[in-house]
Amino acid sequence: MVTVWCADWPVVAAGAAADVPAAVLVANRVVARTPAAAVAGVQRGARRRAAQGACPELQLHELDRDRDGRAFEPVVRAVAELAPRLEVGEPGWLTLLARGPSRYFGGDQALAERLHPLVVAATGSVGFGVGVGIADGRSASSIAARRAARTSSGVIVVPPGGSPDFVSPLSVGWLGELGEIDPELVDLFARLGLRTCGQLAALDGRDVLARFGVVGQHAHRLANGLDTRLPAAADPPPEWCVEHPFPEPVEQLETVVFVGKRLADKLVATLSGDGRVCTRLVVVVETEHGERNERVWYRHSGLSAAAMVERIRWQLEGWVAQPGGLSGGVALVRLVPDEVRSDDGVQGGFWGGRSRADHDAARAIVRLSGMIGDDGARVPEWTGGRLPADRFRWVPAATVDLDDRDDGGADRRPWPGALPPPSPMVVPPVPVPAELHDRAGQPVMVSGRGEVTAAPAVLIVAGSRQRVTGWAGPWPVEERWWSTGRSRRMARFQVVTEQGAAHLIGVEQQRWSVLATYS
Amino acid sequence: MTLADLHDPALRERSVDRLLPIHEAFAPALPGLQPGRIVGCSGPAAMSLAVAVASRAVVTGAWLAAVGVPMLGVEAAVELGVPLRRMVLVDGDHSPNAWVERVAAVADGFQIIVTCPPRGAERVLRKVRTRLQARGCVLVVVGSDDPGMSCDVELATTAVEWNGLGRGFGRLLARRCTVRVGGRRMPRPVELDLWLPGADGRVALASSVAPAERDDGFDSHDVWSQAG
Repeated sequence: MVTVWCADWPVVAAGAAADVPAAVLVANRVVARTPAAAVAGVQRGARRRAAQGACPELQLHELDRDRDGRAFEPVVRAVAELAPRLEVGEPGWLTLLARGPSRYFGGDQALAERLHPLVVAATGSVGFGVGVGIADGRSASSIAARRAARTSSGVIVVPPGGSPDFVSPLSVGWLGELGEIDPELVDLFARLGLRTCGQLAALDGRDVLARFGVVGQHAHRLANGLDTRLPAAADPPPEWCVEHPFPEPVEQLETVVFVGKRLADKLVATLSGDGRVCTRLVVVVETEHGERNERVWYRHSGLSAAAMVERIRWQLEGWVAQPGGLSGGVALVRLVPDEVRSDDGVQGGFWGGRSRADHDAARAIVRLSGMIGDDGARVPEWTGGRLPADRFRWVPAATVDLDDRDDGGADRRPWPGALPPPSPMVVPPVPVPAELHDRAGQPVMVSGRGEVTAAPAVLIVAGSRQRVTGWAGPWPVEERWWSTGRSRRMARFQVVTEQGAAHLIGVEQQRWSVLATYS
Repeated sequence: MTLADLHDPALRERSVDRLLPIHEAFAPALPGLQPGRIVGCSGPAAMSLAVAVASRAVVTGAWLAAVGVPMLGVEAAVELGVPLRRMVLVDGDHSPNAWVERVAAVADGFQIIVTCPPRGAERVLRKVRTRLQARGCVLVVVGSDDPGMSCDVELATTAVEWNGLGRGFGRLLARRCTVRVGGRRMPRPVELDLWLPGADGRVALASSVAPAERDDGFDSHDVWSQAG
């Protein structure tokens, strides 16, 4: 297989120049950056703030997958002129079968050296890493292409049968690079002392399968220079192919994509009914004048309906943008599942582990922020403190990565001086003024030594008198005594009144207030 | 909604018939939360009840929006088991119409809403109800004592007793309360005796369930003292 890999494609597609520090973000994390930004210390996976800290003049772009797909089209066309049977994985990543073209151009090395300048010219930008890798399997050639992108020649050719030797000295981290193996598993391998692929490959495959399950078996196969799965030998039956002929040729792109969505849903429903998933899809579009655009899309984890629609859109937009691309309306859309395998459940969600509920909520939050301002929707963040109102603060949801929040348990450590649980369920943002009287109707006071002048008998909040049936305290708080403006000295009490309501009240400079209510 | 959306299995899955899970302490009265329904909570433990009712659904992946309740005690919510990663506070509004707008916008993306409606909200309740039913969202109203508020399910704390606090010593440890589960969709009200929370910090059923008396002279304090 031949793999062509354009490193950091999203940032190339965003139109950034290689010598200007720029990065593309998804959910506040860097997914791609220019070589200049990499030199400045911007890492993939870094948070926005960390990236800007490393490089203050960093230009930031949001990820736009449609833009990536559109921008990749010239590259695909350029390669297709050399070898028409190619498969597009992601924007920036395409593969083709080596045998035919390599025989035609006089060997693997010649083919790779011919492809490389072609691809660099087609990307329309200089200075970004472009790699061409040729090896036996899809995975080995992908790794070769990624490594080649970091070399000056940009070409790595692994001789036939040499994939295991090529992969063997590499760090196990490369297994995670292709997106087929969970990074956590790779991390586990490293912690177990398996630092190179060769060390993992030397283990008995059955032992790896027994210990780590199917995912471990896939990792083991990759470490041996093999693909995670063998290519399907049988062609899918032709009746799985879905198509929609338009009685009237359609000019609008959106209409075609809309029909494509229906076809994709139908195809995915048919396949998933049998427990199958489509890994290679051929999308065919024909116009009323008989022009034809056909492209093969590949995704190792299988194409969901949404992923199919995305690819139909990329293909159409690329075709429309191509000079002399199509001359009339679209007359036919056809989806042909080219490779189908049983769905073994390793497939990740299209939204990268987000459920539909997460997606809906994120969208609703964006809408709410637009409706009532960024402060309108807020999420809690633990800050810690002795008083209930200090323990959490609300931060605007728009400034937070909603996919990467903890449940409030991880950071919370015991806070000396705070009251133990149960915590009050109602914490007014501003304490409510109150009065506490003893049996004789005199205000209850706390002396400098922390002694109560009399047992509390009546709590008066907003004019309503409630008889106190139980109380405990005082628990003193003395905070920031070193600061003149911010120091505070107060005593806390818990009181229960006759209706069964429990309050946390405090006295500060002889004034009582309700800090929180155990509602 | 277009015709093509009907083919979307993900949308189909979001059917209105699916029950959201509820904490097992409420199981004798409620099998789950019916999407599109309004649940009212009232009495001295109203807020805790509302959060306890919503907690299990949030644990299983639903998103919780607190609309117009800036006084919600986050720490206490965590203690009742609500994962904070799926909890969002939305500013409320004093005007019922603006409140409806916000609840409607929230209902588009969230499965559970806890809210303190503004004064006069009962006039616009019908609008809210249609939106909730369309989106399959549960609205938990805190402080639903307002006579105009007609909730599908009404949880009223009638008797509350705190353990652990004496006169001048101890601290609050556990709360035992009697919750009467009634409302428009509960033809036979049920009374629950709950730890909210218990000494271990969890919500639990304190004793067996008694169907509530139907007559108006019902006094839960009497039942409490006889049972306890």
